[in-house]
Amino acid sequence: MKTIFTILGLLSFLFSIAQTTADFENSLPTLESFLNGSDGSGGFSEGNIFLPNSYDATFDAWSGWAISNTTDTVTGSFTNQYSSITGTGNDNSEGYAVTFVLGETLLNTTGAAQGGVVEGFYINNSTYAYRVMQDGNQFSKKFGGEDGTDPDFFYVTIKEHGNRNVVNDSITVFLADYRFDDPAEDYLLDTWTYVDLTRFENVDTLSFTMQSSDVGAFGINTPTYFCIDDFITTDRALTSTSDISENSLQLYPNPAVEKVFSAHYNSDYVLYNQSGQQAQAGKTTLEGWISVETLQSGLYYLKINGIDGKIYSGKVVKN
Amino acid sequence: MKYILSVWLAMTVLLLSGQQDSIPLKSTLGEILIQDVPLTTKPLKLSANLTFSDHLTRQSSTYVRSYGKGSLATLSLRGGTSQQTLLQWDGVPIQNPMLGLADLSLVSSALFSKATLHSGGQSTRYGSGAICGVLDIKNIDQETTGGQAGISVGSYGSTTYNVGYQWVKNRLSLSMRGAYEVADNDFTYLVGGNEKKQANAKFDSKGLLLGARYRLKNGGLKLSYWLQDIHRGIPPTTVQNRSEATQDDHTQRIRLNLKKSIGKANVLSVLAYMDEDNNYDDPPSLIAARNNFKRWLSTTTVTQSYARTQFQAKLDLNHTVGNTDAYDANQNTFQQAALYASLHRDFNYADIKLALRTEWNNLTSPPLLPSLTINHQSGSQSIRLKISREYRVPGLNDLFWRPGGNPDLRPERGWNQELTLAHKGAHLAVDATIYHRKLEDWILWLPSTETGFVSAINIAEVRSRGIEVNSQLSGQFHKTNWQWTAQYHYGRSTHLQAISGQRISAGDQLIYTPLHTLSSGWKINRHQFSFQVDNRYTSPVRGINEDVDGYFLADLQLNHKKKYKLNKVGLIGIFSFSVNNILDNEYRVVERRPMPGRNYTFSFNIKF
Repeated sequence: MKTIFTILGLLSFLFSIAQTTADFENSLPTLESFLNGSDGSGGFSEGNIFLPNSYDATFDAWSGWAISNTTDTVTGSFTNQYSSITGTGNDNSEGYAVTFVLGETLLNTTGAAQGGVVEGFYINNSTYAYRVMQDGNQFSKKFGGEDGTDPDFFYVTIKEHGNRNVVNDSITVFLADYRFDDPAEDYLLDTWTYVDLTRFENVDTLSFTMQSSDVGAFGINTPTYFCIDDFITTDRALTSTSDISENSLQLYPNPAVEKVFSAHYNSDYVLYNQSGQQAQAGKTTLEGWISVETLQSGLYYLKINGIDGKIYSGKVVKN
Repeated sequence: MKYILSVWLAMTVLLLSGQQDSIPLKSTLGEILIQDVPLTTKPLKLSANLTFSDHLTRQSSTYVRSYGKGSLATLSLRGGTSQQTLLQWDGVPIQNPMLGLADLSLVSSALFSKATLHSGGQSTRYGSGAICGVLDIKNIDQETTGGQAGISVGSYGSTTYNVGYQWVKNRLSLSMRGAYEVADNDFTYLVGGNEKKQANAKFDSKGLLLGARYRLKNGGLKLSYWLQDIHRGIPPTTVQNRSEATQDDHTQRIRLNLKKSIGKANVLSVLAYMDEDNNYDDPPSLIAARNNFKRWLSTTTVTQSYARTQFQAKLDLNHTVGNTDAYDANQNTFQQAALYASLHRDFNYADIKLALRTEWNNLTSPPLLPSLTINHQSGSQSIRLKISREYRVPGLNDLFWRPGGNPDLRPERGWNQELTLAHKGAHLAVDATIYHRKLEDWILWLPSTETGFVSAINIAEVRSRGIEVNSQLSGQFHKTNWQWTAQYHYGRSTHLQAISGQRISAGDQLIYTPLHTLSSGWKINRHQFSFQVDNRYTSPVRGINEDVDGYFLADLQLNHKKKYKLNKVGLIGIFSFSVNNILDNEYRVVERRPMPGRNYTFSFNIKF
């Protein structure tokens, strides 16, 4: 009997930790295409993650994330911003995501994965960054430098953000490393490589920053692009009823003077005063902040239309 | 455009129908009594054998950022950027308005006979871009029929042909100058102990300058046409495996000058049109950039003298249209009108000149630009003080390039002060200028997390100060003439504030701005032979990615002049042999860009 209960318990546990994979396979109708936010969507929802995007229609420029299935593994210039160095996603799939990191790129967990464990994802170089590191161009150096001995590097730092925007932990992934004593060990990443994030236990947001040894007076010369695929999150909704969202907001700091953090990024919100009149409306920032600087002191009711389709509410005190 | 043409034509008709019983013209019309340059400033002598950049670095203390023959060559004067020194073709600005700078490699030195470098703030007189000075190229009009031809052969597949002819009859003069230059530029250099040959560095340049002059009573009309066509490969950097990039520049410039004397007033009116293509191709990178601009300019200067007082007024009109895929069709035009007025009086104790420029344009709000110059001369010594306001309108790319252009940019602006002491004797001429300049709203292109891309912003404040010394000593020993010239510049040009997120701290020297530049030359003439040695030193500079070491260079030239007669026509033949970088020093001017070692040039020119 004890054994039966043990087996049932194990089975129930196994079922409870269902995983969702964002594989970017169904976003693009045709091969050799990409989504770069030109539709004004502000980002892409895949599986249980949201990949924010910033697009400037005036200049046709983007940063953050794009979804792609382009296959150019040769062209090492900004005319080829959306291709991975293999020309495919992980495991020869078609779709993948590519990011252009300008300072910092964010990725948010959503729905049942919000605030939970992130299993990991596959990472690879973009063709643009890879070819520039391999061959150099008029602005960036080939890694290894003039005589091949420069200790060059190019890496991504991934940081975990909990629901109060506190950095809990970080992981570094090298996309190129030329620091080895034996030059034969120097490498440029050219295969999809798994990044284990299971030590991140309470993830609302991941941030990605990049560092390169090729830095000039005006910043990094290496194109700050990389690709990801098969992003696996753990579905927390089935593990405990207590984890199901109660649609109430945790707001911090509260009382607030300048801004308040909502943990809901890029979401429509409305602030009502005590008379029920609308005092302010807009979108939360990509990090989930709402500016309250211009509000008069007092109590306000905040309503947020979450990107998961749910409505969240809470009270904010403006000092 | 129509507006500029109408205004210019109206003025021309007015001038041609004016009185013709006035005093004859003297020298250059529109020349002012007080020169905006130190008294010892000498024009640079140009020859077909050297590039325009070589002439500048050998005969002045300017810093030219270039990586060899045919490469982009930009000028830095008194600690400023290449966008802050104005390049003019006999008074007409020829900066690229899209980039806001002039590429000296796009000027064939064989087409011109004279270049004058006016160091120091000149914005009041010349407008935008003359913050640090003006470089003016021109040809001296000859009054006799004659011609010249030459060939120059040098290392790394370099060959230059030049030809010129001028025909003069009565009031009419027709002239032509042509130059064709090719070079493989495939010199070898050392990288990590290994020898490497520069690739994809071929260039060829064709230049043609046509002129027609007609002498009017008390004046003259002059029509000039300048065609320049340059194709060049962009070699890989020392940290780049290969490059297939090329650049093609096709330039057409036409100008019409009208000089006229009406009563005591001298009038110079110029109408100019420029059409310039700049195409960049990099097939492996799938880049094919097509840029073009068209520019109409009109300048009318009236100079009136009364005894010891001189008044000058100038109207400048400018209509420029930039065309590139990176501009929006509705945001590509610059229109400008500027009024300049100066009053100069020669008092017993000093010459004093007050000048003012006011300008209107469709893109920015230029400041009012006053200047005051006081010059005191006592025998062979003189002292000169100048205070002026300076500014630079952003280039069209700064304003309109997508992405990153910023239509809300303000002009760079600030004040310039300079004091010059000069001595000009029979054998010794020397001047020393100390200057100070502070500019705000300096424009930089920086990555912006707000816009999501690299953008042009008014961010920096820069203080420049330094000293510039020019000297010339000459003499004769038995039947040998000798001359020694030296030019030195010390300049600190520093950021006043750190720039957040960049590797720029308060007090940092600007990139590619050397603290010291020194050039000197010895020239000895005896009978038909002359021997010349030129030296120059440039102190280390901070590059964008790495520091560039200082370097010392020495060049040697031997000339022999001989007279011939052929069918009663007198000919002068000049043979020249020069050795450049005679010490075979390994050096770089631009980071990651090698320079050639010792190299040779042999040339033969003939004049008739």
